[in-house]
Amino acid sequence: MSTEEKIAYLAELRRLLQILPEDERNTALTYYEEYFDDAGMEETERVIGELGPARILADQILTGYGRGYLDTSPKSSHAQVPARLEDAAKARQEEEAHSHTTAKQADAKKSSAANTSTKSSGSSVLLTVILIILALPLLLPLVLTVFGLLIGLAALIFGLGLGLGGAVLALFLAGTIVLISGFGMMAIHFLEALLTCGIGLTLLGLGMLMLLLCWFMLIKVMPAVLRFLLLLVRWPFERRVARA
Amino acid sequence: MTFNPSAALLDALVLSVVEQGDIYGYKITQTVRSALDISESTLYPVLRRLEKDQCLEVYDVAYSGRNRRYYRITSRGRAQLMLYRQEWAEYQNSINTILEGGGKI
Repeated sequence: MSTEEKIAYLAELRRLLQILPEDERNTALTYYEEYFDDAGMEETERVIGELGPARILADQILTGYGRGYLDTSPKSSHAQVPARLEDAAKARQEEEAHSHTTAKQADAKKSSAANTSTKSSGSSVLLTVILIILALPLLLPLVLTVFGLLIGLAALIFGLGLGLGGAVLALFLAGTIVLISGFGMMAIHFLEALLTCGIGLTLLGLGMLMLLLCWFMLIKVMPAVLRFLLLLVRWPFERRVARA
Repeated sequence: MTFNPSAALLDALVLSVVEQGDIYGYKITQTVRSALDISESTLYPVLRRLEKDQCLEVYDVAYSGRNRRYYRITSRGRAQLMLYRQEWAEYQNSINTILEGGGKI
């Protein structure tokens, strides 16, 4: 009776493990057959109780298999914890080795590292060039647009500067003329002359204010704008350098 | 059982048991089960994985008209076990520090 139960259980297990490669399935079956035998014939029912339904047992074997316990490569992904421990051991060893290496060796290491990094950046440059060539149809209008925008911005700033300069000059000129003419009228129409002088002085004052504004623009705003533009142009390259 | 064993802890226990001497599957299970209330089904994948990781190796011995598969620990398995013991000691220490009220802030 109990032997039959065992045979039935193992047969069901075999059926449920159909998806496994044959040798893997046989290894599992052999293990559980031995397990039954080692427990003893009279323990069959207890063992079946311990193992649980064949369906669940098969699931656990399949899950273990799926995590790659069959993977024969030593660096398989399934052994995460062992791998971590191994890494820790390696790191420790490396640390020790490192403290023993002379400065010369360290330098050699560094230079070799530098070599490899230049190599990799070389290939990435090639890749970048190919990418740029492939993206040219899309990139060209974009670049031209950006270029045009930048030129427009420069022209705007230039025009603004020119306009401000012109305004300053005109205000100074007009203020001076009005002031002089005000003085000229002084003997004939005193009050009107006074008013004219006032207007002239006001114009001169406005011109001075404008001059200050120009000065401020020249000293503070222009460099800031230029810096920003420079940053904007440099940005993509800097990112690439940082990544490489 | 309140606390669940992790895969790493199971690995460590199995390696410890096999380290005591070559042993077969049923015995390993019984020994581990004396400490942990795990269902047997979880142990076969562990054994198979350790075997594939070359921490354990197997050989068959004829026993009363059939084969018995014995497990033996490898040097790689010993190294792994040493690391597990080290990690366990650290883990135990830090847990005890808090669990037994020794943790002072």
